[in-house]
Amino acid sequence: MTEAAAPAGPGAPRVLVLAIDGLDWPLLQTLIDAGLMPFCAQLLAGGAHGRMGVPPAHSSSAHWTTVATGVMSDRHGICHDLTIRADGLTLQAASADALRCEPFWQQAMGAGLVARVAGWPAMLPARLPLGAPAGCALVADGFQNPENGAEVCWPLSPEAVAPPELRHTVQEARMHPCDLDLEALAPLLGKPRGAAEGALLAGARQLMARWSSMHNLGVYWAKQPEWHLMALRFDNLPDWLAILQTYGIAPGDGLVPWYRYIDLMLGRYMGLLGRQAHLLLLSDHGLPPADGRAGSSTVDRLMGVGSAGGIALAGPGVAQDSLLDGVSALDVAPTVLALLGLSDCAGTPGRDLLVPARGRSRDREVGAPPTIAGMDWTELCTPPVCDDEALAWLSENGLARPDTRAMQLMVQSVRAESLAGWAAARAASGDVNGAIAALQQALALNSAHLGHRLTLGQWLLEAGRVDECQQLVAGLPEAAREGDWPDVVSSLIAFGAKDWAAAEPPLLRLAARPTAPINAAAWLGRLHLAQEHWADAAQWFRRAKTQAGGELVWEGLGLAFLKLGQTGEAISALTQAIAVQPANARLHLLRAVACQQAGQFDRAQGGLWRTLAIDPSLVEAHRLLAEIARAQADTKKPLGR
Amino acid sequence: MRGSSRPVAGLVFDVSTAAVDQTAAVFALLPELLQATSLPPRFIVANVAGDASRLLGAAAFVPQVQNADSPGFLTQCRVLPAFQRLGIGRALLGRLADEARAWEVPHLHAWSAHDDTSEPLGFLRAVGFRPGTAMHHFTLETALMRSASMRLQQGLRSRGRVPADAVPVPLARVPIEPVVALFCAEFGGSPAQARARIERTLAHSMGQELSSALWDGATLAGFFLAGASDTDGSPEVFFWASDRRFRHGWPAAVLLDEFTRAMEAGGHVQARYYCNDRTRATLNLVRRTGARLRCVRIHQVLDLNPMP
Repeated sequence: MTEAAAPAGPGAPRVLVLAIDGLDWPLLQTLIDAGLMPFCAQLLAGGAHGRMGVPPAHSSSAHWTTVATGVMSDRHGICHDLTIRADGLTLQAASADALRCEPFWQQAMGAGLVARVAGWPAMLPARLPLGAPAGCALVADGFQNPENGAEVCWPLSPEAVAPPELRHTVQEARMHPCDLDLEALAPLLGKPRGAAEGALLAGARQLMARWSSMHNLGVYWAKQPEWHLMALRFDNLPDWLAILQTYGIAPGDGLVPWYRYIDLMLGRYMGLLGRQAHLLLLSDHGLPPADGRAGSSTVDRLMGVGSAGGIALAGPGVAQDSLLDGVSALDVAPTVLALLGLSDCAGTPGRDLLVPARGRSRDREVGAPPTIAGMDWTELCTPPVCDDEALAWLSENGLARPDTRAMQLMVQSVRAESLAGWAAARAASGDVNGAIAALQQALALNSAHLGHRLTLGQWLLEAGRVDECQQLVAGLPEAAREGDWPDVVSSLIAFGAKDWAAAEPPLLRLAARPTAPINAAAWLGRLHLAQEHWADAAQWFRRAKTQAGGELVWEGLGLAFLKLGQTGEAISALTQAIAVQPANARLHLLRAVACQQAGQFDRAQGGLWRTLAIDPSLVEAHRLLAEIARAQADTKKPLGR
Repeated sequence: MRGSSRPVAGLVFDVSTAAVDQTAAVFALLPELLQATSLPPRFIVANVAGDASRLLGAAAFVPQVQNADSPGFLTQCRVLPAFQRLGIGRALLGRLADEARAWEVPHLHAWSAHDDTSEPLGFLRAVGFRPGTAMHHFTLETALMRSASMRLQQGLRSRGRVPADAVPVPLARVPIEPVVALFCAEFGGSPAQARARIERTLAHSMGQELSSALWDGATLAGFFLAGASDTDGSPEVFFWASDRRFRHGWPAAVLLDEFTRAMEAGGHVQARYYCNDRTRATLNLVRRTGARLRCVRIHQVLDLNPMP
């Protein structure tokens, strides 16, 4: 029996997006297999699901804004969890004012649909767009945060809720940790935890209160009939993981009760929505890499590389128990908009994940060239603005100039990290030189950041700027001259100089060490690729992908397979690479070539159109399209386009 | 958003939201905000009408709830001395109160000295602040305190009031969550503030040296948070709390004794300590150990309903 009220009109779409920060997909699958998450199992069996790659970003806010907008940090403008205020001196949580394009809910509201959203970053101050229909609601992330209040008084920022009439509902939905009985939370620890029990219960109470606040609001909204889109984000699972790690509790052990709680919440929403609504469960990343797992190298840790997230989608028209392959976080917004019947996703690099399943024309995959203006990294470097006349006047009246050095240092640190986030997004779009310029600026602000320095070195090598890389190496801190680091530096410099003989021995030494600071296997793969030793390259890349994910490995592996004539494997590897870099035209082109060689002409054509949508200047794509058209004409097959 | 101009004794001033480029000037007027753990979305300023750069005063609150009894935001408000008694402070505070009401907090807080006859206290009272709890500030002399605390603890132990296995451990070795929980239960405020305060203290060697807890691995009977003062780096006792289940004086006495031992071992001659006048037992305990009262500061509370 469902408690679902009828939707806004006959046949009106309804989409619920449940975003759970840090939900580990492999652990989820394990628990489903063990029968511990029956509702989740039902969701996956009744719809499409798969791993979801999230383009590189340095903060949770950037990840989720990418999900909500369908573009990366360099276009949506959220590069960090904190935004530098317009005064250039103070900081605030990622701000809606810094957002440069519309999240999917805003587009839905603009199209006259009722959307309700809570807990997503970059929503403060919450403002409904002009013309949003009655019933729309925005509740900014932080409303559920008990840390600015106490049991007796829990203030709510007047800017956190739109429309203001909703404030009372939000206040009612919120649950403070003090409202929860500690002993009643013991089941969430899974089993007695001895000396750590008190500390764990205190942490569990914080997390449960936050989730309960969000869930209360979500259930209240879901029970109402008049809505089309609802998007809720549940955060803080990574915080709980950090507490578990403090007490030496394995994630697989300490997370299980929480995953089961997620399953119960999911079941509640499934019951409320019924079968006529679409439900999306999203995760932006999983558990942090353990040694030997993907992303476990020093550089990955320094750069915040983690494991992929996941997506499950069920509802009318979604093929049951189907696997979604090569999904990117950029695909979520176009998919949600398409489910709502809003077809225009031009200007975003993502795709509607259900296009083939719903039998729509492939033409929709071919978006127009990007129309959202990119953000230049220099916009992140706006200097503080100061009314010097006011300070002079105050000085005349006996007041000293304030010592804001500590604040400026904080702002500088956020600026450096924001630049690095922008650079990572830019590099993922294929603009390595732009990424280099931004990362150089980040290093100018924080020269001690080893992760940024090493990434910059790798990008400089990729861009063939070996001299600059050598200069960078000369400035490496002492810590980079000990242990494995001499091998790292000498091998990468030799690689940059294309001195393969000199690069190989130190890379082989590094590859033999389980805790090497770089993924040496990936570099050996590239080394053999450069020498056209395709089989060796493929072998090293295969090994590398068990150590670190990412475009470096998948792209190289795809290319090696392509050269070896193993087109099926090439298509699969390049699909993985595209999930990470969906706006990289070169990857789409390479996959199209692989598809063409495999005789998959329709897919090759789709890929080529997509390539040209991203970069219309790629002559090779035009040439291949013409070639396929000729081949199809020869065999008297109708053109796909 | 600009406010209306107010003519007062020949001076016409505006009260408005500070412009983007006036943040540094606001910090010059309200330097306490530089230490705040969070800032409001906007600051309120008063300036000579028609000349935004001639600031006359500023006001702001820290949007984190203080004080469990009269919960509200801590307020900072300052008017240049040459322009006081012209209604500027009242106008600033009125505007600030409107902002705070939008957050639905019932009170604003400020501090004044016990024997204060200064302009700020007169101003606070004139705009409706009422005195709340009094904070007693002491100087603790290590030599005096050490002998007194040892006598006290030995007396309690000889009467069997202290469990035999009650041994203080360094606070830095105790998980922070129960400490934060006890902190919030005793002193109110937010867990984030509490955690930040504890971590900041324990990040310094003096904090690690002087802070202790009664922790048996499962239960926290009490803790003593002391470390380097924010103002001059000398020893200061920040927080001293016992779990309500252990209220027979022994945790406080054992922790105080441990503190005096650490003070002596570290060669510290004296420390500062403050506590409010409602914790009678602690106040008495401190007085019995020879603490010298330096000053009493009064917590001032403005009830936002009714209007000030």
